[in-house]
This record gives sequence, structure tokens and C-alpha cells, in this order.
Amino acid sequence: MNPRQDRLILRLIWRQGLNALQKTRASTLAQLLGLGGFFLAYVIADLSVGLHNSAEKLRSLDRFWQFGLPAAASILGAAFGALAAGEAAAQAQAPFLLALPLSKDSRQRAARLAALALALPPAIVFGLAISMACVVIEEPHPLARAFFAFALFLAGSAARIFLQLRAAFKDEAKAADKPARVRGRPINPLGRLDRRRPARLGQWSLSLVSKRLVLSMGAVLFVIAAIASGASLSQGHAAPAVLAGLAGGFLLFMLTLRCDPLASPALRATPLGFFSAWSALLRFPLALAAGFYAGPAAAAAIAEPHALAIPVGAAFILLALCAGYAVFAAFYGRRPMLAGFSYLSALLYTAYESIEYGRPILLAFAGLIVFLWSHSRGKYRHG
Amino acid sequence: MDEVLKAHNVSAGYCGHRIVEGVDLLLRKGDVLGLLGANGSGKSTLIKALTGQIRLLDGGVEILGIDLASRPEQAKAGLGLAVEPSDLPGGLTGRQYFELVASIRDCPPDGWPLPAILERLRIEDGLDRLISACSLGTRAKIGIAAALLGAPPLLIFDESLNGLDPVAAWEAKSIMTELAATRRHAILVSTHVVETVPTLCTRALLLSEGRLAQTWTASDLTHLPPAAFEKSVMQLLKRQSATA
Repeated sequence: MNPRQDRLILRLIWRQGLNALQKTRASTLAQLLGLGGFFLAYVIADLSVGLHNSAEKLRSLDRFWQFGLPAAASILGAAFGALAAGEAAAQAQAPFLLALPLSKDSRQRAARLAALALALPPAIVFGLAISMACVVIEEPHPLARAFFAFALFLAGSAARIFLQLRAAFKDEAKAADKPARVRGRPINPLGRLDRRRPARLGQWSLSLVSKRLVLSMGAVLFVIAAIASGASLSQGHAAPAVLAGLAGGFLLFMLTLRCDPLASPALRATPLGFFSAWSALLRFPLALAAGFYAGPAAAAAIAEPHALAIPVGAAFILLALCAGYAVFAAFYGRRPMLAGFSYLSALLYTAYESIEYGRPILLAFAGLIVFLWSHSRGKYRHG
Repeated sequence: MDEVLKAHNVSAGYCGHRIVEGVDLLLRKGDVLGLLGANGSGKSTLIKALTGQIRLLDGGVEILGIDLASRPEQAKAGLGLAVEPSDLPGGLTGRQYFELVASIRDCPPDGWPLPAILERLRIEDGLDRLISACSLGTRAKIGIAAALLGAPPLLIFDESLNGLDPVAAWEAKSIMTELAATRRHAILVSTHVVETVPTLCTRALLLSEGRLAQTWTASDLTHLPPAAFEKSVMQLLKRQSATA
């Protein structure tokens, strides 16, 4: 293969990025850089002060340095690797490339190179952030720690990229056989459940979800919830089951909610209002989250019958978490991964800042949710 | 009320960049307006603006006297847009997509304004297949049929005749003509098939660089032989591309 073709996907992504940058208005760019820069500087300053104040404690956390940091670096790297692999696979499997005389292996190789190149800058940033944190808390060997964190981040990314791209290109072969296999009526998992106005919207949204991911994650979450429920029942404490149910229900909601139809003219050119469309998309994921939560919540209620407030309160927390994510998902439309990252980051940051500043931060978070909701509504109604 | 679509001084575009500028349109029941123009002339942008998919930079659009900007849901109740094949929900079957549209329009899933629409467009066989597994032509027919569901007074077809086989294209044009003849609908058809316009449309306009460059009245279209109309459009398009 021509070595120039190895860089094909990388060049495509690079040029698309440049074009998008050129298309962005100067004022928007200035706002993004100005506000983003200010916010970043504030976060760095705030974190530095926080780290400096807890330097001694952090230095003594042996388990964190031995296991916590390597695990975090690998998991974060894998998450970024998934994003990079997704983008590279989408480019490498674009119809116009399939029509060109490029072998599947050469496209896969080019996608792998592009994904690795995309994962490199975040790995460097992560390594630099660790080294700076080590300097702030006066941890010895900051460079070694930084290099170690960088290497694990990159290893996590590379592993994820390799596995995801291998699966994507395997599926490509299956997809090529699909027209021959799609005969008769396709399976309709929601059936009569999806007949309420607007009918079939749940099925449309569900067709965009990766069934394999949901089933495998669902199985893992189910096992964790079963173990936690068993622990609750044997110890007489509601907390383990409630926590497992809450986390599992929320993760399933995130995995199954897709708001792509909100960006489609098939809905936007009809008289269906934003709220009706948005709430119809939530029906199935919310029912799934509630169904998942019901088991561990029942176990918690049996384990601690006098503390029913715990599972009931957690149910409201689950509802609030799901509603918040649903707003982010509507805002990001066809980019659920970005919605998930943004929401989890915003939640973590709100939790962190609210420890220091309390209610105003929670109100600011609520304000952000209202802003995103009204922006999404405006985009749906008027473009 | 006879006026179905009224667009006044419409300007629209993307990221603040104007693609369409100062377009005025008036469609009454019984009208079939042909929208012509070269690639990039702003036809699809104008249709997106008229159907509320992009925000207007200037001007206003009213459907059945309802302002699209301030009351989009009510205004869109009078509108049926044949969605482009690539924008149809690939994860649904044709039948399920009709159920979705019918439930939104509060009409039965077979609530077409004329009988035997599915038979005429020849899509009955593909109705239980996923849209993503259908051919381009079948998807285009599904888009056309869905636009007609609930018999909305304003029907918009954005290059919907592309990809149809000759029989389906002929049937689609016949359906449009019959609907216009009932005087319950106004139809806007954007097309590159210029020779279709004199036989199908009662009026036509040519868009160039986002502005109205030429209009043809019903009497122009009646009196001009189809070949002469096609020739005049080609001359205009060539002149415009030479001056661009």
C-alpha cells in the first residue's frame, strides 16, 4: 500500500477540522477562546489551590499512586480511544471511500493510524496535567509519574482503538450481507408499547442504539446489582443495593437514550412540538432505568424496612439525573458520546464546587440545564 | 382562505451567511409552483426556510395565515414536506414511518387525500422492510406518500422526483395535478427536470444566487411550447453561469 494512503483518514479529519474552523465566525471563535480560556484558567487555579492545600494527604495516598492513578489513566485513555476510533471508523467507512479502489485492510490501517494520532494530544495533556499536579503537591519524581500516566493513557487508548476498529470492520463485512438477510418483517421490540402519539418514535430512537453494547453492559450491571442486593439483604443495609440500582439505572438510561430524531426534518417539519417529541424519546429509556432500579430498590426496602426514605429518595435522584442527561442529549443531538462526557463532567464539577460554595453552584447548574433545554427547543423549532 | 403560503422578503442562510435573499412568494389553493435553479442557487435553503428548518435572517413566512416563526407547530400542521430519502428514519419500516406521521397529524395511517396512493406509487411490497434496506426510489416514494398523509393544504417536494422509475414519476406527477385540481392544496415542487414544469406547474420561478431571477405565469406556461420553455430556462442558466 502506498504510505500516503496510510495517512488518508488522518488527512481527511485534519482538513474537515480546518474547514470547520474556517467556517466558524470570528466572533464565535473569540467568544469560545475567551470564555473557554477564562474558565480553564479558573479551573486550573482552583485545582492548584485545592491540591496545594491537600498536598500532604495526597502524597501519603500510596494506593492511589499504585493503583488509582494507573487505573484512571487507562480508563480515561480507553474512553478517549473509543471516541477517536468512532470518528476514524466513520470516516474510513464513508460511502465515497468504499467506492474507491482501497482494500478493507488499507482503510482499517489508515483508520488505526488516524485514531492513534487523535488520541495522542489528550494523552500528552493528561501527562502534563499529572506532572503539574505532582509539582504542586511536591511529589517526588513528577516526570516519571507524568510519563507513566501518559504511557498508560496511550495504552488504554490504543487497546480500545484496536478492539473497536477490529469489531467495526468485522461488522462492515456483515453489513454488506445485510440486504440479502433483511427479508420479511424486522423485529419490533417495543411493539404495542410504542403506539401512543407520537407512535414509533421509541422504536426509531432504539434502532440507533448499539444492541450489543446495551446487552453486554446490561448483563454486567445486572450482575453487580444482584451482588449488591445480596450484600444489602445479608447485612441489613439499604445502601449497597440502592447505589448499584441508582448507578445501573442511570447508565442504562444514558446508553439507551438517543435524541437524533430531534435533528431530523422528518420530525422538525411536522406539527409535533419539542416537548412532545423529547418526552416521547425518554419513554423507553426511562422505563428501562425504572425497571432496573426496581429490583435493587425492593431488596433495599426488605433489607432496611424502617428506612424506606432511602430507596424512595434515590428514585427521585435517579429521575433528576436522567432528566438532566436527557437535556444534554437533546442539546448534543446526534453526538451522544459528547453529551455523556459533558454531562458527567458538569455533574462532577458541580459536585466539587458545591462542596465549597454550596447552593449557588447548584442553582448555576440548574440554570445551565434550563439554558440548554431552551436552546434545544429553539433549534428544534426554528433551526 | 385561499392563500396557503405567503413568504415576504425571506432571507435565510447558515452561520450568518445569506444564501437566499429577499424572496417573496404567494401560493393559493390550486397552485402548483415549480422552483428551478442551478445547483447551489438556494432552492433547498429556501425550502428549509419555508418549512421552519432554519431560522429566517429577514422577512416572514405564513402558512394558512399562521406565522411560522411565532407559532411553528400550528403553522406546520398545514404543511406536508416530502423528506429527502437520506433523512428518513432508516430504523423504521415504511409502514411504521406512516404510523409515526399519521399519529403526529392525528389522522389514520391510511389517511391519504386520494385513494390507492400506495398502489399508484407501487410501494406496498416494500412497506414492511426497514427504510434503510430500501432502494433510493422506494425511499423517495415513501417520502412522497408520507407528505400526503393527513392531506395538508401545503405540499412541498424538494427534488422528490429524483430517483423514481418512469411509472412512479408519472404517477407522482399525476397525483400532484389531481390534488391541485381539487383546489384544497397548493404545491411547491423544486426540480431539475425542467421539461416537467410546463405540464405539471401552473407557475414557475427561477432562483439564481439566492434571488428570484425569473418568473413564469400560468399564461406563459400555457402559451410557451414545452421545448421553448426548456430552451429559455437553459439560456437563462447559461447566461447566469457565464456572468457568475
